[in-house]
Amino acid sequence: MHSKKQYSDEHLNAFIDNQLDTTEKAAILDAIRHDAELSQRVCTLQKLHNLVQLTYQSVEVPEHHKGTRTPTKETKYRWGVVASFFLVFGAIAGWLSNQAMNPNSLLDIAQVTHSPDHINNTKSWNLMLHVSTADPRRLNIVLNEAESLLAEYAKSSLKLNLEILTNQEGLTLVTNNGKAYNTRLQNLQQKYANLAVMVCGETLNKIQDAQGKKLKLLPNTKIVPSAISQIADRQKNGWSYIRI
Amino acid sequence: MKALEFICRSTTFKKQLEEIRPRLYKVAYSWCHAADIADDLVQDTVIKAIRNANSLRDMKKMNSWLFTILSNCWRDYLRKQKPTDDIDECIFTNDDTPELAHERQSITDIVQQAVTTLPQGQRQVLSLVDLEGFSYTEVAEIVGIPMGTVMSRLNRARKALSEQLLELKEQNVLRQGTYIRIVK
Repeated sequence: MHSKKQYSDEHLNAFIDNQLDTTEKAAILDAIRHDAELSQRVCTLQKLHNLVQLTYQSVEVPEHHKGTRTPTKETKYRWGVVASFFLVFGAIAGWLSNQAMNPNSLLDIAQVTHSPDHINNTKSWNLMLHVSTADPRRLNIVLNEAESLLAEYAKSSLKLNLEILTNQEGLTLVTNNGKAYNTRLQNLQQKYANLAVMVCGETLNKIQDAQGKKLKLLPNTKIVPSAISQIADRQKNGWSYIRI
Repeated sequence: MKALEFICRSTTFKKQLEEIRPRLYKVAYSWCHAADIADDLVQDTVIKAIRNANSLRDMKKMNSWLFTILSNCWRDYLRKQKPTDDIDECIFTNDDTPELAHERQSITDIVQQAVTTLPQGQRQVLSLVDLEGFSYTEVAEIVGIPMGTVMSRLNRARKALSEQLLELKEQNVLRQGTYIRIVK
């Protein structure tokens, strides 16, 4: 026999308005199945809730409060000027960037420099991927690109030396937070000996000073004195550089 | 970068404000049941929101922030109208006339009529929960009352509304009954 529990109207209102946790909701749903009176009370409250909603849905909103306003001639003209500016600006920027970049899905958000040495060197390729943002989309791009490059070069006779350098917010990638990208990077490090992960010492010190504690980095993360000096040093020695 | 962030934030702010405007109007209307007052309330809310845009730190809270401004505008309006009354317990007079009653046929009119008889505090909580789907905690913040009061006002509002609707329904059925004619 199912024991009847008395539910207050406030409690049932909270049920209707989805303010209860799953356990409480399940208990009420179970009680409704065994108690016709309770079911009736819940039904009345639900009906009231729906009625109020329906009633005010039909209220006519004045045109000037509607989100989709027809643009006036003046706004159209203003947007026209802004659009033309961006069109010209975009065309110039696009032409300039095209001089230095090859068309590639990754490169639309990356800054790339190739040293002349790399072009001539056909036995190995030294590449640095630099990330300074915590944007998960970009972090995943770094990992996707690193993974595919490492896999591709592992099969070929060419040697790849890949360095992932992190600074500023990019430290998220190498901080051991148990995130999916942390685990992915760790797996890559374990699988490929030619992958080195580096962190900017200056950024690391700043964060540690601000937080008053040591950051837990992924194992085998090398701390370099500064990201800029590392980039400059690698470029001087003929490394390709991609900032993502 | 900061300038870019500022432009992006400003664009998002304006876009969201435009999107929420019709909803602000509907809620304002449910409180005052007068198109011109609802219009003024939303205008005031939008002006105050634009002037104080900098005080909104988290864009995710823009929705409840705007309704808080609307609630304050409504409070100010009521203070100006009836300075000596307790605004939470103020019951609106129902300016009903036989002509208006005759026009009211649909269920929405009946519900609106029932809502007008609710005390202001109860009506405000009811519309925020039922129309906008705010949580009790959010309503407490918007109206500036404890959550327990939100729950009790909502309960009283629904109880009164239920009774009112039953009564109005009976009246409406009786009234409709007088229109039935047998044509030979």
